[in-house]
Amino acid sequence: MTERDMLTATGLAKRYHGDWALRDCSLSIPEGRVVALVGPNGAGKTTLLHLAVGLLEPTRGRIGVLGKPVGRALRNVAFLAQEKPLYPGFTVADMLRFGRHLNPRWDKAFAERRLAELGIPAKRKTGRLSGGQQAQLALTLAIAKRPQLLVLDEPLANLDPLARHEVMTGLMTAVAERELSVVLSSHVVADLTDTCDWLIVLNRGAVQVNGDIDDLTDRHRVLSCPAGSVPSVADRFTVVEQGAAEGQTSLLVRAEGQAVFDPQWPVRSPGLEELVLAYLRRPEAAVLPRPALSAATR
Amino acid sequence: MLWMTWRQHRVQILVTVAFLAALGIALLVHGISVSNSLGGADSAALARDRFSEVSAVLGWFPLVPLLIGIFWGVPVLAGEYERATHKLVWTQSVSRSRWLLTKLGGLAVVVVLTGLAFGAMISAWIGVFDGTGLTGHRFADPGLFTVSGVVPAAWWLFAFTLGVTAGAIAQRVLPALAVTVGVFAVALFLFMTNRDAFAAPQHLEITSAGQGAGAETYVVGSTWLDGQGRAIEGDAVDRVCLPQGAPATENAYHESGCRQLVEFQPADRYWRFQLIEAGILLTLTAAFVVTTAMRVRRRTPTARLG
Amino acid sequence: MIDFRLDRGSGVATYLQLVHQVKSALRLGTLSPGDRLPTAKEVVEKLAINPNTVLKAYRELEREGLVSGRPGLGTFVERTLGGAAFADHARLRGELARWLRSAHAAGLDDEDVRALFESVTGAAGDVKGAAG
Repeated sequence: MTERDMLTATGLAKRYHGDWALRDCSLSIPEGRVVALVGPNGAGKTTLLHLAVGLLEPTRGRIGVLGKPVGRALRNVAFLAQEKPLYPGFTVADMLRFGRHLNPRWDKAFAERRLAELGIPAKRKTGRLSGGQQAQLALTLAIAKRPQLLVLDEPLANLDPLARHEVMTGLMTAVAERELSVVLSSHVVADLTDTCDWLIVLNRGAVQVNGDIDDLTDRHRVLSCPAGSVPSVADRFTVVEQGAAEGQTSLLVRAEGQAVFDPQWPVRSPGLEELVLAYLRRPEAAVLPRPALSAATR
Repeated sequence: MLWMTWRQHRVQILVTVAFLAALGIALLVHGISVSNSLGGADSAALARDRFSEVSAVLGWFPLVPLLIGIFWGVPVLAGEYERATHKLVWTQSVSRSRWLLTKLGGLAVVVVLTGLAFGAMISAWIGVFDGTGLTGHRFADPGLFTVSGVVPAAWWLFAFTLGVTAGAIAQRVLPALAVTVGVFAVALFLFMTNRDAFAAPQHLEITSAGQGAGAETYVVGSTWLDGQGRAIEGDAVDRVCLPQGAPATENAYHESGCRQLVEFQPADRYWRFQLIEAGILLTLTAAFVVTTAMRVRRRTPTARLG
Repeated sequence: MIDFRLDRGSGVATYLQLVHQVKSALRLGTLSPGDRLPTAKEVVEKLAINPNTVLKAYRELEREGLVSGRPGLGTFVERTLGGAAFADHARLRGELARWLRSAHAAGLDDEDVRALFESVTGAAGDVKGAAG
C-alpha cells in the first residue's frame, strides 16, 4: 500500500531575532494520521505549526503539504490557532458566512448541523459564547473548509474537562467521517493518548522523536532488573532512561528487533507519556523512523 | 470577500454616510436661507456674518480625515493582528495579496467617494456666496482650502492608508493610533503653512486706491514701498507714507509716493493648487500602500506571529 | 448492539480492549452471528478515540474469522465463540452462583476465591491439554 506523505519538512529551520526556534528539522508524516506534536513550552511547536500553514516562512529548508509548497496548499490545510480567533462583533451566522465566502469548498450543511447539534445559537455574538463553545465554533469552521490536513495549536488549552472531551470527540468523528489528517500540539501528553497514532517530540527546536506510536511502543521496553545486570543490558540495547526503586533498577530501553531479556525480569511496553518524558529528559537521544518503515510509507 | 469587508466596516461606513447626510442637510438649509436673503440692503455685511458663522465650524474639518485614519484605517491591520484573527483569515482559501487588495480597494473606493461628496458639498455651499467677494476664502483660508474641492478626497485617502500602514507596522492598535495622529498632524501642518510654495506668486504694484489684485485672489503677502522703491517696515508705514495730520484714507497713502507691493496667487490658480496638493497626497498614499503590501506579504515573525 | 467501554488506565492497548469486549459479548451471547458491530464513527462519537483504533480491532477480529466487513454495509458477526450452547450457560451460571454462596459461607473472601479458581483452572488446563 503506498501512502502519500501529508507533511514533509526538509532541513527546516527558523530564526527569530537571533535565536533559532527550529533547527534542521526533517520529517515526513503519512496521510490519514492523527499526529501528536508534543514538547515543553518554547520547544518550537507553534513555530513548526505556523510554518506548516504558511503563516511563517522558513529561514532555511523547505516544508510542503501533499507534495506542494505550503503557499500553494491554502485550500487543503485548515488551521486552528492557539487563540482560537473569532471576530468578536460577528454572530455565529456571520462566522459561517465568512467561511462560505472565503472558501470555495465550504460544507455549509455540515457546519449548520454541527452547531445545531452542539446547541450553539446562530444569532449569538461570538464574544458571548463560552470558551468551550468558541472552541467548537472555531473547530467547525476549520472542518467545514473540507481540508485534507487540519492543524491545531494547543486546541485543548484553557478548556474545562467536558469541553476537552467534546472537542476531541468532534475531532475524532471528523477523522472518521472524512479522510482527514490531523496534527495537534499539546504540552499535556495525557490529553493525546488514545486519539493520536503518530508522535513527534520537539525539544529545544529539534525533532527528537518521530514515528508511528504503536511502532514506537513496540520498539521500547520497560524492564526491572538488579543493579548489577544493568551494564549487560546497556551493552546490547540503548538505555533511554534509568531509575532506581526498591533495590531494583528500572530501565527504559530501545530494543530493535527481537529483544530477549532474563525471563525473571518484569518487562512491559512503555506508555506514551512515559516514553515522551524519558526522551524529554535526555535531549541528546533521538528516535526516528526506521528506514524500512519509511520505505513502506512511500 | 467584499461582503466580509462590508461586514467588518459597516459601522464606520454607516457613521460616515450619516455624518455626510447631516452635513449636507445643514449646509443645504443654510445655503438656501443665505441665497434668499442676499440682494437686499446690507447684503455685504450680512453675507460676511453668515459666511463666517459656518466657516468657523468648517475650520475644524481639516481634522475629519484623521477620524477616517483612526476609525477606518487603523483597524484594518492592527485590529486583525491584535485579535490574532490574521491567523484565521490568512489560513482560509484566499491569498494574503488578494485579501489585502480587495479590502483596501473596496474601502478606498468608498473613502474617495465620500471624500469627494464632502468636498463637493462644501464647495457648493461656498458657491452660494458667489459675487459677494467671499468665495476667495476657499483659496486664501488654509482651512477652507483643505475642505473644499477635490483635496478632501485626497486627504481622506491619505489618512486612511496612513492608518492602515501604521497598523501594518506597529501591529497593535494603540501605537498605530499614536503614529497615525502624529504623522497626520505633521503633514497637515506642513501643507497648511507651505501651500504658497506650489507656484511662484505674481506681483502687483498698487499705486492708487481702487486697484487690487481681484476679489477672489489669495493674497500671500504685501509690503509697502516708499517713493524710491525701498521696503518700509510695518510700523513705520504710517510715519513715512501718511502726511502729518491727514486722514488715513488710501489715497492719502499713495499721494506721498508710497506704493503697495502685493504678492498673490490669482484666483484661477485655485484648481491648479488643488491638483498639486492632491497629487502629492496620492503619491504618499501609493507609497503607504506599497509599504503595507510588503509588510503583509513578508512571513517573518514579529511580535504577533511568534 | 454492543456498547464499548474504555479503561484508560489499564495499560492494555485500546484496540485489544475492543477485541476482548467483542469476544466476551460473543461468549455471553449478547452478540450473535448476523449482528452488526457499530461503525467506527459510532464508536468514536461515544469514546473519542482514534477511528483507526476501531478499524484495527475489527481487522484483528476479521483475521480471527469472527467478523467480516461488507463494504458499504458495515461489519457483521460471522460466528460465535465458546464451546457450550447458551442453555448450558444459564445452568452453569446458576451452579456458579450457588458455589460462590457456599464459599462465602465457609469464610472465603473474593481474593481467596480468585486464588482458588486460578489454581483449579491451571490444573484443569493441564488436564485438558493432556486429554485433548
